[in-house]
Amino acid sequence: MQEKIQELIIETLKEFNEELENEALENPSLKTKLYGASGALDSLALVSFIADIEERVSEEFESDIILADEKAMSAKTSPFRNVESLSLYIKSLLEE
Amino acid sequence: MKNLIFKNYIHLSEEENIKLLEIRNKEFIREVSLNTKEISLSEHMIFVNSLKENSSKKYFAVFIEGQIIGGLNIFDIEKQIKWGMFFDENCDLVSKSISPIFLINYIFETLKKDELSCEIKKENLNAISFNKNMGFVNLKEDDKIITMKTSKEDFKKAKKSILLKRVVKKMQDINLIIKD
Repeated sequence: MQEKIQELIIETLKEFNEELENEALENPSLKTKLYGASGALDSLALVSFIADIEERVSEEFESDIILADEKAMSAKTSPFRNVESLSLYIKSLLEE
Repeated sequence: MKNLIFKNYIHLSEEENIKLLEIRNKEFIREVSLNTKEISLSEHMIFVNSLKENSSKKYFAVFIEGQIIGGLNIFDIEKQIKWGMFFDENCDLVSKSISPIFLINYIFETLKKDELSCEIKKENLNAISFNKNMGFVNLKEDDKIITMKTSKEDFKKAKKSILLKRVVKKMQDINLIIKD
């Protein structure tokens, strides 16, 4: 499941970057920084990206998740800091 | 549906002013602000009182579900209107992102302005990117500050972009109340 989620995030990022044209997102990997210190996305772009991910997760795993909620924002280490942390967070939500 | 409230500083209680100032004085906000100085409560209250007689500025505290999460402001209303914002670092991400869109809608639709600009420190790449996503373009820059500008039409176009469309969709879940 973890690998599938990572692929989904990376694929979404690539498509998302066709509009953003952000150099930092040209070849996304697990270590690609998303949000926060030296992250590639501002909060507006992150909310849009997250909404896209939520839709794709719902289609792929037939499960509705909410990524940008209080739980995520109050976490000691943000799940949105890079692709890897986001994939782990999605996996934990799907397993709940 | 969540209530998002823009409350003019002139209507804030003392407790709300203290909370707002606590956020405004955080180091990560001061670093990117044009005025990096820590503001004392007495200085803040003098400023709030001055707003009562000043029609060229509007400063709003932003509340989501009763909690202050940041501030939005507009100034030079009668000339070349400008806007600014600050938000607490761990506040609700969606509210933080849609609040400026609501504010800019208010500027163009309620205040009937045709253009809007903002001044951002050049090292504040996040804010520059945020404004670009909302249709702002660079107008001019010096060695420290970049001035960006958008129009009612360009903002309307930006809201139809794939990026903003998804964010705008989230605005449907929010009930905006402006206490001006």
